[in-house]
Amino acid sequence: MHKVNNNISQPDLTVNVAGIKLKNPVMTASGTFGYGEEYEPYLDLNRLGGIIVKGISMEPREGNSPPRIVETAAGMLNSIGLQNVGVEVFVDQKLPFLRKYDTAVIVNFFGDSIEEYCEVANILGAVDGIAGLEMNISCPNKQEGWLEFGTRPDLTFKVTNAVRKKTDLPLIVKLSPNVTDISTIAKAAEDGGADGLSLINTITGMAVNIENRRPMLANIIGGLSGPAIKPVALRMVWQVAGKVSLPLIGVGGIMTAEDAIEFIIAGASAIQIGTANFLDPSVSIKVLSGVEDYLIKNRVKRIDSLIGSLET
Amino acid sequence: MLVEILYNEEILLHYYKMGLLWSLPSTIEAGQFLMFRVSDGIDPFLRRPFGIYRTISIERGSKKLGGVEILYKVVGKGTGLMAGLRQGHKVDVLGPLGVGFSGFDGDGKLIMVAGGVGIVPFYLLAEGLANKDSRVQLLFGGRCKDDLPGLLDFENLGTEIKISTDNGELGVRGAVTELLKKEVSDDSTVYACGPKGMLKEVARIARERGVPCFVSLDKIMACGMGACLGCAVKVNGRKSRYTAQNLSPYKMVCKDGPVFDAEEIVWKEL
Repeated sequence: MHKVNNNISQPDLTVNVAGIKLKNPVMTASGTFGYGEEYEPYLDLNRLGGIIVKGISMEPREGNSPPRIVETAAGMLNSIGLQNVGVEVFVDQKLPFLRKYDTAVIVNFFGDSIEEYCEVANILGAVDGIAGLEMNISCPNKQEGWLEFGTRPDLTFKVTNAVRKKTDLPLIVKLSPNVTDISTIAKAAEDGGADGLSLINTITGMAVNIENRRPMLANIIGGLSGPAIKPVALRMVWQVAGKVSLPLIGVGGIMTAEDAIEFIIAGASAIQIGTANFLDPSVSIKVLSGVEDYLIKNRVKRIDSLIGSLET
Repeated sequence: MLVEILYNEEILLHYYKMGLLWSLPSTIEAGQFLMFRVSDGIDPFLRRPFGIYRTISIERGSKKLGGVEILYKVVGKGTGLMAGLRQGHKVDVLGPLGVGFSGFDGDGKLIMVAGGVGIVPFYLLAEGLANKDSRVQLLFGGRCKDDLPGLLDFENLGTEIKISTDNGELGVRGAVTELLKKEVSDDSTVYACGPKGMLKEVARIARERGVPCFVSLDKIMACGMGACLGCAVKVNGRKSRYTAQNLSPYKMVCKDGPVFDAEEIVWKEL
């Protein structure tokens, strides 16, 4: 499975992202990889640079009414509704499995108030086996008329700054693409004390059943993912790379090693594979092998030197 | 996993049987499914779930090889493309997945209620029970006589069969659930697979008669392994054994099912 070429030394794939040392830049995205255990039959989890687990809140969330997903051109829409087991069950029942693996476990989390974000971060900061936190700010704020935190720079700053004070774990903020100017939001997260940024979350969209004139999703609106959104994600990574000095993690429609390399050249220090996991549960390992092959073929000794190497 | 298509034949208008050279390591439960990647590219984007119809064995040279057969109906773009796949082509499949039928303990009578392509999970069951003492009956409904795929296979097994068609072409005229009303008895266990309306009515009849009923559900799914949480189905309130908290009222068709106890399903929201 693993290609060995004795003539050229193996390239150095390690990257340092937000203070987290990753053995390689290939991670799996939150919400597409469960709590890791679902994928264990299909790949060696030890080979992944990192696993970002399904978003966790203080209390369990039951999620939205079905239908929750619909296939679209080159992608899919979902409105799962942040269904999760809650932080207590996660720590007691899901985390022990993940601790067995030599891969960075990054816990995605969210809340509907700044207090809830802080509470979850505080609990996660006190347990072993977590390399870092990824904060989902595409979540409605109950104190601000259910406006998403990530759509306003001031709210992004506030929640990042508050959580920053509650945890010593590396803090990665996952940005929403559903904004006018993502680099302003990115800057607010940087000013608030983030150690890194993941971008992008899904792009809001919808689909209509023309036979019964009803929305395809019970929630009407959902998040678009898959190759359809890759050019948008890539553009945002490049724009943000020019505006902040934080390490970036590229996510959005990555299906192949070529896609991953595009993100790295555009400025991402690492990448996440999301929806592609649904099509091929072992795709992340194939992407990793492909990235390695690319480095060997192009005589790039360290992946570090590829990050942000876009010639314009 | 890439497997070779052994055959892909139209057995009735819009109904196909596809044989796959795929030796499965574990015993397959009736009702389990596989996730089939229709296209090597991204159109259509998601895999499609298909119930496993039966296992097959073929001889190639001196070797005996194992395989599985799926029986599917062409209903849209994905299955339309599948119908065009040829023998020898390699396709990407995952499985076997999900939890199959297991509520029947051999006592009393097992009634399998199938509507159209809903026949799929029952062949493995009927085959497994064919030479046992259990009483097994198949109630098979379709719109017309060409809407009863695999009927011959069950006849060859010697399964007791009762048929209904909407137009009365074969068997009795009317819904298969009318047959169920006649055939169900106090010692019956009912298994059902078919359209949503049929399943609801089967569950209602079973409840009225106080007999156990298990149904196989079909939902759009992305991953097939419990990760995307897309194929949620609402179930009656559950409490955690650990924390006394209310658990999510949703179960996943791919991982917790596709077979569920009918009593568990919140039918009005399905």
